[in-house]
Amino acid sequence: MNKSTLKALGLTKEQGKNAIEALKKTEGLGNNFHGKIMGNGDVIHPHTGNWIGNLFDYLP
Amino acid sequence: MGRENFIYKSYCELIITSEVLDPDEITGELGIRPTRSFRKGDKIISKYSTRTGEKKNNLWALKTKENVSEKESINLHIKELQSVLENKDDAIISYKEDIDVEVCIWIWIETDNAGIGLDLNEEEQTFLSKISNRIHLSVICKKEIEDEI
Repeated sequence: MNKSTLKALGLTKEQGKNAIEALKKTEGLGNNFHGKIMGNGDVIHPHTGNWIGNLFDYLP
Repeated sequence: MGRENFIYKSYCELIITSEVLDPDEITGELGIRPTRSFRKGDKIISKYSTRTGEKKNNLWALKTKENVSEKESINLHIKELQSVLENKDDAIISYKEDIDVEVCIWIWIETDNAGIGLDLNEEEQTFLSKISNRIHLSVICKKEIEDEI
């Protein structure tokens, strides 16, 4: 996650990375999955545009 | 009072994902109830978003018992998987070889250490390789590890 996204979400880089790991594990996503992260934490599939989840649900 | 040693909270999850293989079918074939599962099309809801979605695939997962220890090791989780999956090799291998199915071992470690070192012997490597297409290691570094599980 880039700095501007983290800043917009109010997350540290550790929180951002940990939340993404938890989301990927929960959904069984491959390591090559790179979702688009919106300003409210929503994660969108880059190719289909489908909503995958929200990062804030996966913060420890 | 702070601890003298670093703490490692860990577990492994065997995760079987597929768009076609139903979780109930896996449960029936293996004779093992999953620790979690869902089906393609199941609703995804969020506490933090107004949007809703649908699961994109079926998932059947078996999680080992969470362990909190001062030892940086996942060997006990591999032993637990070996024990639970004893005599289930054929079914797992058939999933692994199915082009429509992925079998993943997800290793999850939380630690207050800045890094970790793991060691797997040949037998453990062979077992993991035999039953999975993919191994994913998540190392979550935190300031503090809760040792209540």
